[in-house]
Amino acid sequence: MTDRNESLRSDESLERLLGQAAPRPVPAAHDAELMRLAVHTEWRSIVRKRRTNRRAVALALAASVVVTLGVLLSTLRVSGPDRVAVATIARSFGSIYTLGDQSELYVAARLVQLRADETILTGSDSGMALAWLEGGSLRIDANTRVTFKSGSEIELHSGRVYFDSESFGVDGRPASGPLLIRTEFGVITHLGTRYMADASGRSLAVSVREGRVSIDGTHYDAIAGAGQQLRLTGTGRPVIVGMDPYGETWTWIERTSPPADMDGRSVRDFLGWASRESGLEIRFASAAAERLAATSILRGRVDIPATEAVPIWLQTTDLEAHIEDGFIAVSTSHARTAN
Amino acid sequence: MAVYREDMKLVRRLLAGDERAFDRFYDENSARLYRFALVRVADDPDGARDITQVSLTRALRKLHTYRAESALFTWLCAICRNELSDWLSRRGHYRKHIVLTEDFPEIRAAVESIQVPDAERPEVAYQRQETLRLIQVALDRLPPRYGNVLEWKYIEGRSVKEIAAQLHLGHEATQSLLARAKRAFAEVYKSLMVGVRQPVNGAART
Repeated sequence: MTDRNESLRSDESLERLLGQAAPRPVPAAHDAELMRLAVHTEWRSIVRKRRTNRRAVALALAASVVVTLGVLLSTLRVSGPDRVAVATIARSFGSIYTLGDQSELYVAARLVQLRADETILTGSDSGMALAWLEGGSLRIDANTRVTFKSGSEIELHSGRVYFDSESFGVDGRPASGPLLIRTEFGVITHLGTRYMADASGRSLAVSVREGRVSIDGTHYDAIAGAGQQLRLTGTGRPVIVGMDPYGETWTWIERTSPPADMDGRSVRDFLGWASRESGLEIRFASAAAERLAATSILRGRVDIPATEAVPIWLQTTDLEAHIEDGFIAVSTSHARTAN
Repeated sequence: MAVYREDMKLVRRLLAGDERAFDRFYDENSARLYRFALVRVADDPDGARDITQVSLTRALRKLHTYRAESALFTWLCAICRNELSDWLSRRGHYRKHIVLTEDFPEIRAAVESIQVPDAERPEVAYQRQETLRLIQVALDRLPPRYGNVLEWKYIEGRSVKEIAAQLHLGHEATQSLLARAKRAFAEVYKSLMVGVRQPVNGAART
């Protein structure tokens, strides 16, 4: 035994011993990603609650009466509304989970409706389109965790969401009021707009395609308009930069686009939908092409991303389209043949 | 009583909302805790994943109660044990007879006492399967950096140069780190092997 100990003592023996072992098992990459996301979000929520509690204690020292009222109010809020439906799922793909009370994950394969206080977690290969019952279309990207607080408020813990308040006729109806998006960095409100909130990093980025968005930040307030992106990081001042309403950052929204019923709709309607989904402007090469788009009627249901659908669907008409930088150019087939 | 100052510092930073602290906390503990659970749920990866996630979440909720009287990973393991117990009873598993060597309190204490030890005499005299398993257990009980460099070098066969690049260290510093890691491994492995030879209260792994 002593000899063995002596030999193991030497580096060579140790190295041989280690060499016999297999690499230590780790969770599958996809599981690991989801697990990290869930734990990280929970941690952020805990930190937020601690900060809130600290502020509450400070207030208590200053004005105990006010705090008592606050506690009463918060108690009323907690015991308040039951779990009402807030959205129906218009499309979902990939791994989607709901979160249990103990942060355990449940596969949400057959979920058709979402209720208040429900939390959804999407995996790296997934996405969702929700028809918001108060109107509008909410899209959820991969690696996102979001809690549906009520019919007019969600909490984005991490990841990306996109809201189109006027996505009517396709996957919902126009929003009857603003949807509040609560984040660690502040509360986002809007009126009649399309915008994306990205809390996937250590900052919040709000990119606006249309309309205006205001952010009631934890430290600063700010407003961003169409073609702008507003970034909030920690306690830093908000930064606003110009941003195209189309391109790589936005392509995930097309992937989550729910099937669009185009039966009996004109090509103009179809192009309007494609423009809304992709952020690309429509440019008709001629008045004739525009007239033809208004009078040509389509049949069927679009179930592929808008930028892929446009050239394919126009093949069934006397129009054709190609995508250029920032716009979809539409011309008559005849015009192109003549050229 | 030992006080785990580094772990306490990390916990304070976590409570203050420091993202880098979270990265470190998660990267150093999640995979180790997963393996800790995995071997106790009969190699059920889904079960181990769920238990790990719930354990980490629960630990974060109770983080303000951590007093640094044991290593942070040991504290996490204690929480994980409770989750394991709930999980197994929920599924009607009867695994009371399974006692892992490294679960003995004496061994845990010995492992926790390891800082950067001098070389001592570990033993290699047990069944091959258990030996291989204990190597992985020992790697997990080392400071994470030690476990990682040993795995990279001797199990995955990476060169010192590659490891140095990964850790942003110089060649000499990497070799020195490997030497310290080997000494620490020898110490931990020895502790585990003592447990195998002398099971507490006659309990043994089945």
